[in-house]
Amino acid sequence: MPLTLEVAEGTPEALARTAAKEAVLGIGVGGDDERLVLILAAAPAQPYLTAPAGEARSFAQNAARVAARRPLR
Amino acid sequence: MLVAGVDVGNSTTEIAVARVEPGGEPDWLFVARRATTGTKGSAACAAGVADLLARADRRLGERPHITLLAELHPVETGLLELGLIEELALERTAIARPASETPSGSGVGAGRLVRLQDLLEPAEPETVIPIVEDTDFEAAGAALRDARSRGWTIAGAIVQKDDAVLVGNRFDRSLPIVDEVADASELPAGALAAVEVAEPGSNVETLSDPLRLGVLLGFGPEEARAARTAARALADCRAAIVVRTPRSPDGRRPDDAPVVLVAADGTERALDERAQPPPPGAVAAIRGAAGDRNGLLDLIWRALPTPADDPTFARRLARRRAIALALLARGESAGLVDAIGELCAGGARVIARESEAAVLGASTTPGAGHAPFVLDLGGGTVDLHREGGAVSTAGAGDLVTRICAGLLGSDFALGERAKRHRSARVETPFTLHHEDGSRSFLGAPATPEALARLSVLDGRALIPLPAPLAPEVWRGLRRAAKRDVLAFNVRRAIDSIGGVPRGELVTLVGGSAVDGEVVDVVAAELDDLDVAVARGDVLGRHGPRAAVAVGLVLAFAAGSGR
Repeated sequence: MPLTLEVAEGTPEALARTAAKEAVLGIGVGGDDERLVLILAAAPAQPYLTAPAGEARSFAQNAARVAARRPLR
Repeated sequence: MLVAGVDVGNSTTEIAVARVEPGGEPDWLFVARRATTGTKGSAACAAGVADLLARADRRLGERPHITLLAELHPVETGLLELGLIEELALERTAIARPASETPSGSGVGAGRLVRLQDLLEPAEPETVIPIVEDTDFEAAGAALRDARSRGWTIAGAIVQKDDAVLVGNRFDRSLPIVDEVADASELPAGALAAVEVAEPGSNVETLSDPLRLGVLLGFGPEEARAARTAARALADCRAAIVVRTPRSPDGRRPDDAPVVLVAADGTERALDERAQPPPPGAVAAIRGAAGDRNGLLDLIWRALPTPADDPTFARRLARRRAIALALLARGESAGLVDAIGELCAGGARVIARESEAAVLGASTTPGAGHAPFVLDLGGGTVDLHREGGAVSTAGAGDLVTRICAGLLGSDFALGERAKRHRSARVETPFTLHHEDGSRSFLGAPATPEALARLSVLDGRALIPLPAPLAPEVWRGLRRAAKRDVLAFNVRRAIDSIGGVPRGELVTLVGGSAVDGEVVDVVAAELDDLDVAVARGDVLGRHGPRAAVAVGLVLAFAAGSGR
């Protein structure tokens, strides 16, 4: 999966929005110590997925499923 | 006098209220419906009737003086699983499981099952298949690497969660590792097992071949032949496991025919799910896995329809050997009549058979004149009425719902919605793939829960369904369920009264007739009879619903009540 990791400053929503705009697949993920957010470039106003930072692993698996168009768990 | 006709159905209770004066036409004032409370015919149904009477009271400012009812015959429907085919074939000496579509590695491995924590012990000479249960994938990968370095020979692995690739990346990407084996913790440690992962886009070849499977698991020639259905259960899967389990102590085969039918003359025979059900009235009682019931008026069973265009799903269904059953029993509704009688000053009266009332109600359809043949497609029964003869057959809308829920792996409520509405697959958050193959775009993204799933289109809502089916395939199965139950029972009912004259009008009423697909499949079934099949429109404004409730009032007004 084409994936780029960057460290930047901003809210999870702002980071995810920027990432989605630049991502090949139009999917951006932003996060901080508390929250993780996935935003679709085609619908940047609202997060598509959110999760506490402690659930990063399952959140990342679901983010990959969104990219691969597989059902979420 | 204000009169209420009440039709207590298996799923819906309907009311029609009219003012009836001697010699005059009824003045229709109120028609409504709600979900039936309790089993049809039981006293619990009175709560739903009371609610409808109260609504009529509020609307009209006057409570109906008398409630009119039809004879009630309760219907039970259910889905019966007769046993997995591989269990029958192998005398329960093996467990065969398709695994997820996201395994790791490829190839075949066989060995003794061992729990991950048992790999901490000194290495044993035999090849093993470790079982990874709740262990984190980092820890599992490390444990497997450590075990191999200490001399364990690992041929593959079985992972309970969705972590096969993650474990494989940290251990050995070449070994077959299957995941999402929900009952991994229940697999018997020490048993001989085989795992296979095919290359992407391919299917397992070794575990789906009974002789090769037999060699891997040490079956004798006879057992290998018996393994054919276990092998067949895994065909079309990319990843699978087979575990050899100890033979049952008594060595007996599981019961192959757990349901016994008792004919009207007292003779007994096992239910053969591959045979056609007998004509109405031929079976008087049932014993066994579906429960013991006497006083049956009719019974039907239907196998789950299989999709010709989805062989993988068809094999999964065949593996379950599930049948849907409907039993129509002699009604005992005195308690209900008494309970409803207390709700009106003039009490409650049973004045007609359901289908007699349906004919009167259906005849109010504009353009129908007198409706000589009326098919009442309800929740529990298909009733056919004509002058001088009526027949009720077990199995209608509720049985279709049971089949839909059985196919989808859903509960009854979701099966009901899936039965009634079109579906689409949510291909991307913004794209729907419809049943006719067309695509449309969403203005707002679909919910994450619906992504990549077959979903019911109920108004603007997308309700995800659990089955991994293409919309075209599900449409075919849904229509097949309606054909197999409703069209089948329509044919049984018509055959049992000796047919319908060519060119005659057949009017469809009842809740199931609201569904255009049902009208389609019934009309197609009756094509060879060259009859006019039309949907009722009771009182010209209620569609095919409330025919019985309206008919009861008409029967009362005509003085035909008994």
